[in-house]
Parts: sequence; structure tokens; C-alpha cells
Amino acid sequence: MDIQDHRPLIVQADGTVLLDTRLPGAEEAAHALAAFAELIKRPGELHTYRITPLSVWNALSAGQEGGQIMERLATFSKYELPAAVETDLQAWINRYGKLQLVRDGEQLLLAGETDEPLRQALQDSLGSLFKSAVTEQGPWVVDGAQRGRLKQELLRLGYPVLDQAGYHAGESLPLELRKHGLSGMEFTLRDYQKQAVELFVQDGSIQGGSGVLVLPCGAGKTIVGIAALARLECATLILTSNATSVSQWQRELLDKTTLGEQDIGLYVGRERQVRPVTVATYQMMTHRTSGKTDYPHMRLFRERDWGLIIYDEVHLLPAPVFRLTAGLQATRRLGLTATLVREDGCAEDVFSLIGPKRYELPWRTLEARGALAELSCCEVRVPLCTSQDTTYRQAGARERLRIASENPAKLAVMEQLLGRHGDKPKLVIGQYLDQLSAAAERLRAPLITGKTPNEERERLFAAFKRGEVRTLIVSKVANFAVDLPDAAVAVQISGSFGSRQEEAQRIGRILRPKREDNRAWFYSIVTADTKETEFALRRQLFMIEQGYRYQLKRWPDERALSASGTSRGTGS
Amino acid sequence: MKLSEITACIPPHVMDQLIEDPVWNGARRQGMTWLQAQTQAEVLATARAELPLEAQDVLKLIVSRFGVGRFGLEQLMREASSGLWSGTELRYGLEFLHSCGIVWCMKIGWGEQAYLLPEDTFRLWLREFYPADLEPLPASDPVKRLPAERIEGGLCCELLHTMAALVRLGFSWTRSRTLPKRVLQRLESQLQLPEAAARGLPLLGGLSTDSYPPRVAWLLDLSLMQGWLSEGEEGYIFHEQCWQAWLDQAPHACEAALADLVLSDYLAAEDGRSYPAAVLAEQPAGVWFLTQELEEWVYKAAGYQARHQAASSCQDLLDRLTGLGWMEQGHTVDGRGAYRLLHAQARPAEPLRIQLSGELIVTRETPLQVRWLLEMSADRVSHDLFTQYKVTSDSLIGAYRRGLTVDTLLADLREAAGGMLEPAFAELLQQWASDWLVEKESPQLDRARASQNSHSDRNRAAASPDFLEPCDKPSLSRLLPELPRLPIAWSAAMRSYHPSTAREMIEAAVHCQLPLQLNRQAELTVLIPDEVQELDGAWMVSGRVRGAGRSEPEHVQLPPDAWQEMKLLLPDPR
Repeated sequence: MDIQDHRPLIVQADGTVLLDTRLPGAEEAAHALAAFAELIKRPGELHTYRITPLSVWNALSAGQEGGQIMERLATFSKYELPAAVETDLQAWINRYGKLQLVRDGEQLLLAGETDEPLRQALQDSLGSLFKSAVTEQGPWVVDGAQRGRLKQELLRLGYPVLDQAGYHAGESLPLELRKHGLSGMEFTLRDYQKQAVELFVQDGSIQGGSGVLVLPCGAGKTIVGIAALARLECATLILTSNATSVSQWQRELLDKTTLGEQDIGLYVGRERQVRPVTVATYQMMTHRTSGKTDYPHMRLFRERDWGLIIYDEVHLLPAPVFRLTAGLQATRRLGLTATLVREDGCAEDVFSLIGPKRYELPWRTLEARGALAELSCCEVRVPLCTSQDTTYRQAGARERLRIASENPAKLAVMEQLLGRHGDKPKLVIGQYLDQLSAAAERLRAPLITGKTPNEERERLFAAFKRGEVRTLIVSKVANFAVDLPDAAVAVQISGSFGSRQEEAQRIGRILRPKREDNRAWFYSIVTADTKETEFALRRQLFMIEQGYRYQLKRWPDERALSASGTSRGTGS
Repeated sequence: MKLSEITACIPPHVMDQLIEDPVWNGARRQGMTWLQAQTQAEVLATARAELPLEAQDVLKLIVSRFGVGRFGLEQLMREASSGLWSGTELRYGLEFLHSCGIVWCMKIGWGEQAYLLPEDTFRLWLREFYPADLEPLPASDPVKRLPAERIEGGLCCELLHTMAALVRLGFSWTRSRTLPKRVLQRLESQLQLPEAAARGLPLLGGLSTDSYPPRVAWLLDLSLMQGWLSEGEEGYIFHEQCWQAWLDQAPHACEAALADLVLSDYLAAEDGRSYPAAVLAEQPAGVWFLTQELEEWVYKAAGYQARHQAASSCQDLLDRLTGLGWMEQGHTVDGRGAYRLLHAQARPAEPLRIQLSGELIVTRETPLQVRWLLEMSADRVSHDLFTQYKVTSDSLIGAYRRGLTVDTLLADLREAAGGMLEPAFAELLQQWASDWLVEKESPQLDRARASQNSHSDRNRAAASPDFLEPCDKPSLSRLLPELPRLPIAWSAAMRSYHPSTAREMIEAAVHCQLPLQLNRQAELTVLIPDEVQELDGAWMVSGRVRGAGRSEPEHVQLPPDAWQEMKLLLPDPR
């Protein structure tokens, strides 16, 4: 009951945990928490985590021991653990592994210990998922087609199921990872990438084969996916978020593996190639002519004997794909994401249908290892152009934001900021096409927007990578899954209304480790003393919560407003 | 009722006289005042020895059967009807206790009186007569703690949030002299306090309506009790000075004081709970005790007819304390219920933490003044062991209307945060303020409104009871108005009487509620006669024979030839 002032955690009855990074043991506590709690935010010295049934089950499936969770939490806690937390943890730990899906010959069985409420639920509402009547004593014969749904429903009732029914091998596809890329550059997996793949594959045993790997932007999720594919050597369907990302997967597959073009199919836009490794978009899979018809492209799931399905950006996985995935539980499934947080509350479905979290690497940990560029973030406040001042004052709230965002005075500042970084590869990112066109004209740099044809985009990205184009002006098309590894400077001249993800995704474009000077700079130009400052703060939240810090400067005198003058976060 | 409330109703010189009573000789020798003597367990133990046996037994009976509740003479007589003492002896004991200020008497109606034992001395007398030697559970007997619905952030925060909501929403009543429904809903929605913990608690602060939800009613009553609010003509009056003085205290001190107040005044005010409350007030925090042992002790001390009644009283108290966040319950490995008190520990003050995201975080150790500042200027996002606030443009406007300019707020926040304030955060606040200031509302308006009528007088709306001053020592003439009509010989010495005279004597004893001393074959016994019964032309007396050593009396029916000599036994007033 005594209070241990020097301990860094405050654990609340609802499972929220506050980590005080100034206190001794904070780093160790953060490490311990990472295993069984979700990091919600780290916007300064105090980081917030949440312990949920899913986070605990994810930890247990990643090999953590139940007793250890309780012990670690108590060791670092300032106050005695709330009784509610102890009770909940114990209940969640006890439930994990109690129910298993196993195979007995041709039969799929649900086996394990059940309590009365569960038996009741099995008999009353889940009876249709079994092939025979649910009697008092298990195991019970499960309808094979309902394997995913059964796991989903049981998880919703608070009972996780260990799926040890195994997978079918799928169509064999011999391939290897190359030691050198097509350009001749040496290629090896980074340690954490190897570790992530091992934890997913688990030597091909039934313990592995399905799950989610959580890696920050720039950590090489595509490479990890490809390495998993190479370990399993089977026909693979890769689902990703957009056409640019499809091309990126294709490029990386060709560059990093022994697969040839004839082995890789693209299923996007007008392309309908179904080959041993096929890359498609979620949009394509969920496309249909009217709201009432089936999804015609979902047949892709059954067009080959896939041995592995990779769900890239799994946090964006749409509901229809979930439904189909429920019927594909005998196929190995790999989810890749930078965050398990889903705005739609479908995190439970990711757990039961794709699989538990197998590996997670925090953003800042990766940066500390040098696997991400060392980032400086700066918000530069520019006065509103005098000619716009009256218009701004007379405008409505929404219009004001637009006026402030498109402040013409920003362009000169943009130019000067870019000028500071010599010939480093640079991106200018914005929201409004007129503004972007003006920027392109001013800098005499190419502009890529949603209207730019795919071929033209690819050509410009390639030129940028080769160093022939040093500055690219891009609209929000560059927010996701565009690999521009050498981009080191990004200047954001406008953003959307305050999407937290957007700014992080944009920053993700410049975070890839650089060969020589492993640093990156992100500038957000904001019109001072206007509504835009408020929205800029909202946009920065995600990065701040990841432990980054924005330096604040006023233009033109560049008087630093930041107390410490440093751009680095205080979080560990 | 507390001793201080009683003594507030009697002239001071009475207390000066009380210490002169021989019962308080021990205390007087130590230089204590009478009031000081009442709070010392050792002094009360000495005083007990100075009491005549009748008074000792009456006091024990009061402690056991009435606790802190009021009782009349008739009730006392009924409770003691099968006991050792006759009615006159009981009255003697009671008057003796009243005369030395142990028991108090108050007028409760036309010609009616009630007696009571003050709440604070009750605890000590209870311990004197029924020592609660409950043994803590050994460390080798681990307890599995049970989760419960409870206040996690402390009662002081519940009160602080209540006052903050009232400042924001207003103190005014509707025509029915109650707070508007929307205010009540807002007050209720932010509470952690479980309803079961507040339901049925007495309203001691003078809340004049019974139409509020129980939790809100109790917290408002507590605020009235503390003097932060009083009831005016059109609404509650906020006594800001008194409130600010409370906020100046350390959080743990506020919480500890609230725990004492609630346990001794609100929880112990109910008869059943007063017994376990007295025990808990003496138990150390953080140590586990068995619930069953507490129940067993209460069963004995409070003289319950059935064990389940004692168990129910104890559980009610334990559950309420748990709901208030001051207790934990659990069970041992073999399933026995256990409980332990939690206490607010003195900790160094923690500053306000301002995150880069603009979140403001305070912990249990953050000064209440800082919490109040945040309540007045920011939105509470979450509240538990730590509380998270966020300044929004709306909350800033609200603060401004309450008289807090952005510059003052920034200065206050900077000070609360130990001198550090994130520049982006400060800029944002300035930006919001300048956006809004176009409307130019007077910043002083609401502060002036909030502080009007500000004064720190405690308002105890409950009418002061009419207490009687302690009586003189009981005399025979007062106790026995019939004394002049009783032959002196009947009480002077043991004599043998003709059966008809003996019967007359016995009937006089029954009427005057006096015991008789009988010589039965050279053995002296005391008979407390109940009645004379006719049987086949003969008569018999029934009553109780007081055994040696104040053991349980024996009910008897005696014919007149069952004793040889007799006399009336008169009390022996000192």
C-alpha cells in the first residue's frame, strides 16, 4: 500500500498506464510495457499506455508469461496495483490458451476448458458453427468453413482461441532472397527484420503462420513481407493500399528476390494478372458495380492455391475483406502495419482473423538504432500576406483556414528553407492544387497530383531516385506507400483539416535511413496568428505522441520560440 | 451528536463546574479541562472506576444498546428490565451519569426528554467496556483483493469537481428552491462516487431539499457542512474565502480530514454503523483484518439479537468506505472475508505537467489550487489516479468570463508547472484569446458575481437542540418522592415482618422500583420484585435475585416464608 515515489508507472483501474520518463527505471518499464500494453501516445515526458485483453493476449501469443506481466507491472508501479487490474489481468491470462482449435484427421475440433457462461453461449448462439450438437463435454466438431467466424465470435465473448489447426501448404513457389539487388547493391535483412520474420514463421510450425508485425514507417515492412514469402516459398497474394504501393511491391520483389516478372502479377486498375505472387489493392477487391451485387474481384482469393496472404497496411483492411478472410483461415496470413489502432474498432477482428501481434518495434527505438533517419521537425510561422489580411478577417471559419493555408507569403519561405539544404533530395507537400502549381512554377520543379497519369508518376519518382530530379512537388498522393528512400527534406506548405495520420505519413517519406548523412528535416509552414496554427497543432499530434518534438520559429526573424531550442523529443 | 455541538449549547461555566466533580479527579489532577478529559481514553477509564456500580452498568447498557442514538428513560428501563438493577437504581445511575457530563439530556418536545452519549466519547466508552482486540491477519495469510466500484481520485476531487461545476453553471435555484435539472444532471454525470455509498446517509450540513439524487445531495450537504456553501434566498451562496482556505491545504490532509469527518459524523451517525465505525477509527491503515471478527465483536458489543444483523451493519459500513475509496475488501485463501483501511499519505507536492500536445496532467499529489485553476480554465478529459485536462478555445473563453485573462492564466500555469511552459501551447492560447477578444467581454464580470456575498462563516442550518445543563447529583428525595411515606424502619435494618407487612413492603418496593434485601437462612440476597401474585389464597413475590459479582440475575417466585428478615434497599447517593 505504500507509495513508491521513485517508480515510473501509475496504473489505473481502467487499465490506463502513465509512464513518467523522467524517473529512474522508466526505460526498463517502457520496454516491459511494450510487451503487453498498447502505447497510446508519448507527447512529452509522460507516455500513456493501455492494457486491454487484446494487448495481453497479444503478449502471451508472443511468448510472454502471464505471471511476468503482473510482476513487471507491480515492480514499476508507484501505487499498489488496483484490485480491478489484478483481477482482470488474472482472468485474461487464465483464459488465454484454454480454448484451442485442433485438427484430428479431417475433423476440426474446438477443445479445452470451458466455464458455464461459455458453454451456454456455445449451445445457445454459436451452435450453428458446429457440425454436431454442443454437449457438456468437449471437444466439439467445428464446421471447417466457420473456423474464422468461431474465433471471431469467441473473442467477442472474451475467449481467445489458439488456432493450432494448421495451414495448407499452398502452391509451392521456389525462390530465394538475393544477396545483391539488381543495381548490385548488397542486400541483407536488418536484425529486427529477421527477428520479425522468425516470430511470424516460427519454423513453419502451427504456432506461427498467422499474425501481425507492427513496424514504423520506413522500417521496411515490404522487405519483411518479402522475407516471409521467401521463407515459406509458396504462392502469395499481397493486398495493399494503392496502385503506387502495388508498383513498389513489384519493384522490391524483382530487386530483392529471385522471382522474375513472369512470376509477379499485378491486379490493379485495368491489369488483371493472376500469377504465383499477385499484388492487388483493397480498393480493387472491394470494387463492385452497385451496392447490391457481390464483390467480383474477391474471387481472386480462390483463383490460386495461395499459401500466404499478406495484408499490407492492415489497419486499413476494409470490412468486406475481413468477411472473406474469415473463410480463409487455413491459409497463412501476415498483417503489416505501423499501428494496430483502428478508428473503426475492428482491432479484435484483426486479432482473430489475421492473427495476434507477433512483433512490434516502436518508432523511436528504430531511430535510435539508426534504422530511421534522425528527424528534425520545425513549424515555421509566417505572417499573413498583407493583401489577404482584410479578406481573412471578413471570412467565415472554414474559408479562413483556406486563406491562411494558401497564404502566398509561404512560397518565399519555402524557397528559402529548401535553399538551406543544398542539393539534398527534397519534397514539397501540399493540399491545394493552385498553391502546389504556384510552388512548382516558382521552383521550376515537377508536380505530381492525383491527375498525373500513373506512368508519369512512376517516371518522375524514378528520376527523383536517380538524382536527376532534386525537388518534387507532391499533393496528398504521396501520403501513402511511396518509397522515396533518399528524400531528406520535406516542406509542407498546407495540410488537411487536422488529420493526425496524414502528417505522420508525409514524414514517413523522408525517414528512410540515408547512406551518408542520416538526417532528415521536416518543415511545416503555417500562417501565424490564424486558425491554421490550431489545425497545425492537431496535425502534429501523432508525431508528438510518438515522442517527436516540433521546434517553433517565427519568420522572418526566426526567433526560436522553443524553450529548449532543440528539435528532439524528450521521450525515450 | 458531537461533544462540541453539545457544549456549544450550554454556558461555559458549566464545564468549569463539571471538572470539579469527583469523577474527574484524575483529570483535574493532571490539569485538564473537562472537555480535554472527554477525549482521553485513560482518563475515562479512571472515571469509570469512580462511578457507582449502578452508573457503570447503566453506561455500559447505553453504550451497548443505544450507541450514539437518543433514548428515553422508558426505553432504558425496558432494555434493563431483566437486568441486575431496579428502576430506581437505574434512574440513579442515569442521573449520576448526567450529573458528571457523561450522558446528556435534551428537550425533544413538550415535557419530553431524551438522553444521548456524545459521538466522540461513545467511541472511547465503547472501547472501555468492549475492548476490540481484533488481531490483524498475519502476512502469511495472503488476501485476494476484490475490485469494487469506488472513487479512485479521492473524495476531495469529487467535491472539487462539484464546486467547479457549480461555479461554471451557477448556484441559482428554480422556483422550487432547487438547482435546475440540467445542473443536477451535470453534477451527477461527473461523479465517481457509487450511489450505494451515499444513499441513506444523514444530511447534517442543513441541505433543505430532499429532491436531489442521493449522491449530489450528500456532496452538497458536505459542502454546506464545510462552510463552502450556504443557502440564500435564491440559491446557494459560495463562500470563496472559506473554499480557498480549504484548497490551500495539502491534498492528503484534505482527504484525511474528510475521511475523519465522514466516518465520525456521517457514517457513525446511524446506530448500527456506529459500532464498527468506532472500531475502524482505531485500526491502523494498510493492515488486513477479518470481517467475521469485526462482526462477532459488533454482535456482542451492540447486543444484537441475531448475528446477521451485526453482519449487515458491518458490511454496510465496509461497502460505503470502499465506495468512498478509503477501504479495500478481499478474501483469504480459505474464503474468509477481510478488509483494510487505506489512508492518504503525505507526499511531496507534484507540479502540473504540460505535455507537448497541450495535455495538462495532474496527479494525486498536485496541489488542489492547481486543480482548481484547471477546473476553471480547461476541460477535464479523464480522472482517476491521474487527471488529464485540455485547454480548448471554449474553456478559455469560460475562464475569461470568470475573470481569468489569458496572461494571468499563462502565468498561473507556468507557476503550477514549475516555471516551464511550452511555447507552442502558450502561443495557441494567445491565439484563441485574441480571436475571441473581438467581442470584448468584461473579464471581471463573473468573478465579481461569484464572489459576491463572499464570507467564511460556517452555516449550520440545523437548529441547535435545547440541551439541559447537567443535573445535580441524584438525591434520595429526588429519586424517591414517596420516601416520606415509607416507614423509616423498612429501610433502616433487617427485620422479620408479619407476612401482611412483608407484602405491603414488597408492594411499596414494586411501586417505587426499589430492591429488597432478604435474609434467607443466614444468606443475604437482593431481590428486585416485579409483582405480588395471588395463588390459592396465598401470595408469592416474583422477581429477580441479584447474584454475587453482578452475574446474570435469577428469576424467582418466592412465598413469604422463603426468607426470615428483610428491608428496603435504598440507593446510596454520594
